[in-house]
Amino acid sequence: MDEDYFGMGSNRIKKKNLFDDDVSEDAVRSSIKTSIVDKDDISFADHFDPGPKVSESNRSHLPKPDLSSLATPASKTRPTLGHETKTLSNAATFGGASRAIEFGHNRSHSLTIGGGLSLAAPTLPDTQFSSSSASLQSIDKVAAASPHGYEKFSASSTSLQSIDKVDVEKMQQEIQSLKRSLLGAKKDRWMKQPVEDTLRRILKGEPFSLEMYKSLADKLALLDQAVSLHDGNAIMMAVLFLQKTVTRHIFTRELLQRPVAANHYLDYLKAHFDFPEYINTLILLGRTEEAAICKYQLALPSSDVAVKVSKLKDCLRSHFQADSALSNDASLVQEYVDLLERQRPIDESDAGLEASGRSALFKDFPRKRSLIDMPVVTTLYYCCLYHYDLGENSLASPAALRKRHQISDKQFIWTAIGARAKLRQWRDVEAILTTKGWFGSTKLKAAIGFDKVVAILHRNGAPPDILQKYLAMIDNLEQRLSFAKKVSCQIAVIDALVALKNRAELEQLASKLDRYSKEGLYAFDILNTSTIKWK
Amino acid sequence: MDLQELSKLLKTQLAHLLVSFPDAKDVVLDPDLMKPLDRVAGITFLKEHGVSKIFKLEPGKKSLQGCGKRVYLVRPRLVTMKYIADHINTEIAKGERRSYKIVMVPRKLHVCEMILESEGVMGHITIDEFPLELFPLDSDLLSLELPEFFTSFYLDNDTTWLHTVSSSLVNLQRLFGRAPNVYAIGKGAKMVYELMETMFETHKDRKDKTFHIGQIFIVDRDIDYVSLLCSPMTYEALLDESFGINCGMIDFDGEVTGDGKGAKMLLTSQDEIYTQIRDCHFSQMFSYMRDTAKKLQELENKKNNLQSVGDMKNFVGNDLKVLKQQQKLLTTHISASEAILKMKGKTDFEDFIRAEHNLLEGVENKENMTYIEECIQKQFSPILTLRLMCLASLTQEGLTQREYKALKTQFLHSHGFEHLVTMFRLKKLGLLTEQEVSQSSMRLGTAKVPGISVKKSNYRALNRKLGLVPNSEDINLQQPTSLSYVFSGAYTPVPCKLVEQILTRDTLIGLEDVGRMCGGLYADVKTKSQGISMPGPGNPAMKVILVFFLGGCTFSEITALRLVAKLHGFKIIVATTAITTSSRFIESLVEKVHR
Repeated sequence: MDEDYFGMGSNRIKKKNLFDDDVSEDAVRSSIKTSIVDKDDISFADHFDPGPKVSESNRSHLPKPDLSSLATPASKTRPTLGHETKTLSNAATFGGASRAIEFGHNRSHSLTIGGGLSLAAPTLPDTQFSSSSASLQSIDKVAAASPHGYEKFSASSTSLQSIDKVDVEKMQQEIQSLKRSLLGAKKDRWMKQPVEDTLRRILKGEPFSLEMYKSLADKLALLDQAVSLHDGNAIMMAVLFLQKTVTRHIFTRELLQRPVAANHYLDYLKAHFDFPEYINTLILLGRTEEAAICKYQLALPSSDVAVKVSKLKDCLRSHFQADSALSNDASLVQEYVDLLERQRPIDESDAGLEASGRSALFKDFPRKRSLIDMPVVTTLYYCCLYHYDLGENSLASPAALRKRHQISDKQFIWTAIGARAKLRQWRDVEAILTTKGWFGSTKLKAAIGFDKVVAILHRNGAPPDILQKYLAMIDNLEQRLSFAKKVSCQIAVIDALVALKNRAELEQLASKLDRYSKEGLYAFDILNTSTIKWK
Repeated sequence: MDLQELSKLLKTQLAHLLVSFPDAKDVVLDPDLMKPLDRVAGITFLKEHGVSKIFKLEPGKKSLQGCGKRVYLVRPRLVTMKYIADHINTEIAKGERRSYKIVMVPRKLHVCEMILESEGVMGHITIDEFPLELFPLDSDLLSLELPEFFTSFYLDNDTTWLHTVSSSLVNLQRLFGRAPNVYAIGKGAKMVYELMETMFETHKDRKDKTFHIGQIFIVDRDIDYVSLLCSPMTYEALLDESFGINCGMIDFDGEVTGDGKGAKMLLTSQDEIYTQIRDCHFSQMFSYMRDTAKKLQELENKKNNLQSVGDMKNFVGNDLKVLKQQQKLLTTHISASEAILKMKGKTDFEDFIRAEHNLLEGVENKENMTYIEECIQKQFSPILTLRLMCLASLTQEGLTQREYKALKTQFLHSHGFEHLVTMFRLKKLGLLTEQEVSQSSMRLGTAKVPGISVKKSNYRALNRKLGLVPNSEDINLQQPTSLSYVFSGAYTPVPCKLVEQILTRDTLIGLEDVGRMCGGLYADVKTKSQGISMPGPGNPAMKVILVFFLGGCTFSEITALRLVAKLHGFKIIVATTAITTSSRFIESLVEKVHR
């Protein structure tokens, strides 16, 4: 397997074994170097629990440190340090250096360079940059992006005891070279890196810093190149960096020209539940429909009907009705509002009626749940079940509901027949299916087809004579026969067989029937009739 | 090459991760990661690496019990980070001392770290990553198990997960060698390819130039939604639709197992009977199972003819064990098939399939619409109804404005006004759209309408070019030769058809139009593999093909690709962001309101 496959993983393992006896010095050195090059580790220790436990155990387990030998190199580097960071005050520099000496007291710390230096480091920014809190913050942020420091430290501190064997002199050299590389790294830290390099670091999940991109051109270059990389994480980072560092006006202007970036910003806002800004941004982008839908979606979870209605009305006014392209949706939202306003009083009075126990209807067919927020069709079923006979000017009247929501004939038949059949009100079923013809004649007509009517009635336990009546209305004879069989309505089966002139099958059927049952008598009666012309 | 290498690698990585946080620790798991981790490592593996308790991360819990060290293994989501920060802050306020490690899977995201920072917990935690990317579900199947990829990328245009796909392809090729030929079909596929190339640039190249995978296809989900919406007809796809297969595990209820308790079962090629029947058309299942039952019976009959003690020993030692096991498996599969039939019987499956097939064929338009309306009016399953509505829109390249308005209004009446949101999502994805009226486009002129750009369906043209709906009525379902058998000959999944076309023709010439309709067809061909479908010398690795579905694929499509492999002598490995079904797919787009 490829060595590099682990990426950071393999480094981590190396670091962990740093102080194992069997690790060669060269390996130690190189791994320490690589770890220190990760300049952002410097302030990481800032972020972890100083852990008195650790230092105490160090002290108790380790021999007295050699003070003098270690103090020297640190003081030697002092002038260089001052030179390198000219802008810093002398005192501050001294503070940093002397802190390093202080840590030198404890040999273990100065030896575990990675951990020791990173411990010393936070004191530097503290003293040196106390005036510029902005940059401090950004250090924090960067440090936050590099989780490995902590781990490395905790790993190294566990294997401290095996250090004694290492030659002190070599360690001094080590310290010096590390200090140099630390300074180099520190200097680099404050230099602007090419955008490509930073993005590559982001892509690989390595520590990085954006704070040096001060010019708008840099910020936009960062964003545009992130977009061309197709990595959402990098895009998001560049967008949020832009948003934090430029005025809202500029941010919006640039975002509008970059749809990909805008999408990522929107996704961030949504995941962050920042809906006001989400909706605003959508409107700025001209995506009014999405804005309206989002606002609508936010109104949906309200459990209180009054609150929900007012939210929906607000959303209707400020979004749906404001855009003529959304007029269809606007009327649907209006329907929703009207439906909720209709359901509330019905539900209240019916709940009272049911609780009082005075209504036989509610006793026989108790309500399964509150009517509130049920779909239109379910509401229609409810009204057909409990309030079928109410006049059209009553809220709960099926006719009124039908009119308001322009419910189609077919839909009305499906639902109303089901509800009336449940109550075994066969007369109502017939009335629903009866249409007045010319000159006052009436006939049965079903927009959904009588096969469907039979299915609904059968599901609701209709008796054979009712089924038979509607089975007879199915025009297609083969279909009539198969439906009659399906709902096992024997009389209708016999009728269908007669209509099909299929004597053979009728005889077969008759032989299976009880000779003296109603169906049996009927079948044999027909078989004995000579007027029928069989096939 | 053995895909299990990936599992081994992941296990090593997980072990390092756990060991690097020494001593006993508790693990808090993201519910989404339970099954994947179970497949990759298992609970015992965690326990062996110092994990004492395992918690499930649940919203609303303000703190947890447990020891002084805790590892969170979670997907990088903002809400999840908030939950974790709440845990930490509550526990600190209670005075509990604990060290925390947050492991984001598969990688850490900047926004997540931002949340942790702003919640003030950064000083108390360490952050790490566990690159759980592609892992094997079977010997020819890899998955990221990242179902949110679809909505995130296609609906919200968020490219965050593209990185994971590209990185998984890079890592796969680090393990098995860099594939010389890469084809990208669709816009997202192209992006993945480009990001993959960038990632290769930033790493040094392997010296070893050998490879085990010759060709990679990256395919966008949005090139073919139709195949996603068709009713499955093969056994494995039906099992997934009826019971749900999660990371290769299926949960049978008590009715299927017959003991009332139900059982979990791992469905892989390890199960010999299953391997034989998983790709069978359902109509062929029972005859196959009858044959198998007969074979088992013969085996059992052997016990009557045992001549010697040696025979008997042999029988009891070998045959009997196999026999018992196979019998049990066969019984389970038979009862599962029966359960599927029963479920289908409850819905009026025949009418539904008729409407579906008519829509695909583009015939009986008026009847189809009436049937869809009827489904709405009788408040038939909203998911199945939406499937037909979307199919109608896709196959007719948009509904007429009148049809659209009528269906939408009626659907909202039947299933609730919250589906205004559902309808919007379906429109945004181009699944359920209305045809543009020439008049309105004239009025708007050339100015682009701001707002969502609806992807137009190219069903008719694609169908014509690729012959997706076979003309002949008689598709051989027993010994299939046409990929369309996975949908009873009603439709051929475009991705599978394209893979077959490109592999067998070995050229993209003639596919330009198709490529354009799919949002772009891009090829990076380093090795001309002329005549790879013919026997003879040449690198056998060129016959190993990886097909990566962005945004998920169905078992029907996997089955179709298995047929491509079988017909043309390839080895095809399917990789996907997740395995889905038409119902799960629609469900992920449906607005849900708690009533």
